[in-house]
Amino acid sequence: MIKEELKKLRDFTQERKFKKYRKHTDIDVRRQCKDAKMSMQKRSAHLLKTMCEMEEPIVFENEKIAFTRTIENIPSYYNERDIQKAFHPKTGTIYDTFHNACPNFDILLKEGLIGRLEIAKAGLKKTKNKNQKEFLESVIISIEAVIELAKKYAEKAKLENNGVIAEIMKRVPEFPANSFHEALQSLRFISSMFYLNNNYQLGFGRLDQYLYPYYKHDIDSKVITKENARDLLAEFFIALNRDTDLYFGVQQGDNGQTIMLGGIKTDGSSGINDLTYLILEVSRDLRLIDPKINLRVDSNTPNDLIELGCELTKQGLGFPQYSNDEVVIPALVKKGYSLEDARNYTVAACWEFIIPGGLEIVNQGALSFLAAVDNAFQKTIKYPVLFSMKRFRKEIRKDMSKQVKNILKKRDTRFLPSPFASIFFDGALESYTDASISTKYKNIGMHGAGAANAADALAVIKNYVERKDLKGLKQIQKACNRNFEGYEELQDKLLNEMPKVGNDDNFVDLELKFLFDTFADVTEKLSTKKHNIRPGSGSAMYYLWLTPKEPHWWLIEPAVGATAEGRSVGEPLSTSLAPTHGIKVSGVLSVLKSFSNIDYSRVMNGGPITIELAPSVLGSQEGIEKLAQLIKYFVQVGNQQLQLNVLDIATLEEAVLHPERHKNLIVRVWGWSGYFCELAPEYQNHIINRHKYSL
Amino acid sequence: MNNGYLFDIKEFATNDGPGIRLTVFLKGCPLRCLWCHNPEGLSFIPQFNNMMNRIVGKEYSSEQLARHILNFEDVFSLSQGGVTFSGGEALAQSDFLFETALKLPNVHKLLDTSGFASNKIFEKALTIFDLIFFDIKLADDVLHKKYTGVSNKLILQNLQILSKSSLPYNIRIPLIPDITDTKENLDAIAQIIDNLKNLPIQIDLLSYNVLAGGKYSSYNMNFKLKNENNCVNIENVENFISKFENLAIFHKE
Repeated sequence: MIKEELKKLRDFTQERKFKKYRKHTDIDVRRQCKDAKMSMQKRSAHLLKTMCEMEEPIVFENEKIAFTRTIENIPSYYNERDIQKAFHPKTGTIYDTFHNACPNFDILLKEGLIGRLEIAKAGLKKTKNKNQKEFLESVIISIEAVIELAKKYAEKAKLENNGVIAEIMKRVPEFPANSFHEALQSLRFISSMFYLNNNYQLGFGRLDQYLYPYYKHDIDSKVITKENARDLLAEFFIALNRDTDLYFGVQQGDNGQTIMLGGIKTDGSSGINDLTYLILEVSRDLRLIDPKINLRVDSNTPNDLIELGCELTKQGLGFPQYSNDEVVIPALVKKGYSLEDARNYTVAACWEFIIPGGLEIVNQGALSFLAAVDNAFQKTIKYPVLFSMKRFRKEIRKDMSKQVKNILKKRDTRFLPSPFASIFFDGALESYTDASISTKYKNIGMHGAGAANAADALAVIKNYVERKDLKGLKQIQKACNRNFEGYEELQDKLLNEMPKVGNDDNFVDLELKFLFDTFADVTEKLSTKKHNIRPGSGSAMYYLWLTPKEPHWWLIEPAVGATAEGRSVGEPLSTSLAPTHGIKVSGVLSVLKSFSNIDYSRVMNGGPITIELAPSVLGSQEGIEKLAQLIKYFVQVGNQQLQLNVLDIATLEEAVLHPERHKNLIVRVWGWSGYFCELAPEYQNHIINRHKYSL
Repeated sequence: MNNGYLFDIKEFATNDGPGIRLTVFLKGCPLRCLWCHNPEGLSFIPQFNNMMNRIVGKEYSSEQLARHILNFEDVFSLSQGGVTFSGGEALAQSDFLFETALKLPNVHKLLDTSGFASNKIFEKALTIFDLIFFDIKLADDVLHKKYTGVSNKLILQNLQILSKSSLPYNIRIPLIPDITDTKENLDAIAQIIDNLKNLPIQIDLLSYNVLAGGKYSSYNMNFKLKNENNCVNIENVENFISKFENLAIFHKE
């Protein structure tokens, strides 16, 4: 259980009371960089140095994990023109700082910043290459600035009579962590530095793996008890919620502070340890948004661990998100990752399977399955007498290919140099090169949105074609073009009498498989040695973006109007892998069976089956045990990733009317959880509708 | 081959027996319990639901239904679950029910019943099912007639038959405030259970669902239970449970 004083600290954090220590800065970092004619690498270092100098240390008397942001904004340090000058990019190329990745925190804990600094300094003596020198100098400036801030924290702690923090901040992050406590403090401090350096959505990865040696050492040598460790973890988690309103994301909460628990080690043996359990327990008892928990499972995962995961699910926070090692690891290997790397996978900000210490573009736009089906339908129906499934499928393939090319061209995403973050990415510092260039894998992830809607629409068309009802097909086209006005009866039939994904019905489930197979074919064909495309099943915010009432001028993906599965203009798609929004299906077992038809060995960018469960399911211990069995079933049928939500719809509806009473209500939005009342209304509505059809 | 009518098949029913279960709801019931929360389970024929704008009630052949259930054999064996037949009153369509169940030799089969069936049909059921959930609502026959529309004679006879068989069974008692949760009724039920040859493996006391009447208007039906009091008489329940320690469980929801 959580101690009273920690509960107070949690509530203080949740009420965002830390805001009072913040101030805004008007400093013009870009101007300074420009005047000094700095390279992009130096600019990044200069930003971090400036931020570290401006940060005022905040230490409370009894706290054990320090760092509180005091500068609320990150000044810009470059603009479009600077990017043009530095990189001469083609139109459509987007430059962004490091994001959606997982640093290798083992490096931090084992070597400390001092270890990195030594390599950088030695390198500077060795190399004559101008770019390498520039990189290493930037690394040194950054590290020294961070150590300086840590020292300021140590001094401040002394003034505040916090001897614990004063001692610890003298040691970390500068030196290797010597204890479990030091490891946690080092992690919190460095991850905060990433945000100060304008990086975002950098996750914590396999926390139970890299923290375990420190935990075990301290327990074995009786430095701490298990209860001490629990308190420290709780305080660490609370600290991770402190500045989250300042972090960048599409919606509040989308900040990428994810962790991955359990699974196997790089040598193939089980990685489940005491910390795996302890972290789940702390998360369950604290009920905070951050960090967002993921749990790796396979056929051998002990039931008690999965049941603990289910107890966390019961809290209604929308996590843990489960991933199936038996499916994920082989798919990553097939895509070209080494077996050791694949076994070490974690997730990026939402669900994308990535390797800690690697830097890749994990989401570059989204393929709209529904647009592919709709465009192909509109094209093929122009000559109704020639309509055949073969022609229709060919057009779907063509459209997908067009979409993927378009995403590659118009969402060509590159990383800006980030010398400081680079030191935690494998091989960057050793090769004296920024991780944006030296990274081992250079793959590109792509979401695949609206799969269930698209399969349902495809099944409607196949149904009419098989019955040779070409007139009917023409009528569907007309009805869609008129947004079903005057065709209400037809719309009702399409919505309620046609096969739907989620009912374990091969007629439509095999179309779901076809769509993903085609996505995989197309991306494999368009992959190059340099840029291997990773197709995924996630939707992110595209479930709304792809179905606007009025087209968004800024969206490069094709939008759809009304579509053949009976969907009206503006109605959202389902999130990631879920039955079409607003359709009642047979049940959760059938949903799992339907989605197990996808060949996940070729679709590995992640994107969970998303299921809303009624809270009554989890009422008793028996319910928890059964949910754990359901997760084993998810593994057995060969699904990839699963995300369960348990919320009472009445609570959600009440929160819309009385947000002031539900400030701490947490919901899963897409790959992340957020405070319900901080979401835009369209996202709130989507969540309420999802819960109306809970299983 | 026999056909029957269902009004729902629920996947992952967590309160209907061991493991992960599929619960099949057969349409039609000879009882008219005032508190019934499944109005669509009363009539034997399909009905129009004006809220959903749909016909509720679907005809299945025993072959079709058995095939559907067998689709879930993998999850049954993984979780030591199975199929639960409920209703309405499943035994009211006994030919269809038995024919379906006999096509599922390797599936754990649970019958959730009011016990209202001829002794012959009930005895046959005991040779087919692996576990029985048996309802006892009211011990007093006059009250039983008043609140459920039928006498409890057959039901209590069948309970005797059940307790003399070697089949495991649960007894389920719906707790309807001031109707079934009275001291007199719970005492009398306790007496009945005490005198049984083989005791049930569990006694489930089920809380009354305040939303029980919610579905009636969708079928143009009236919910006749006008109950001012929604609170279970907890003292009576606790008193009952104290008589059957380790056996009786109070399900609050």
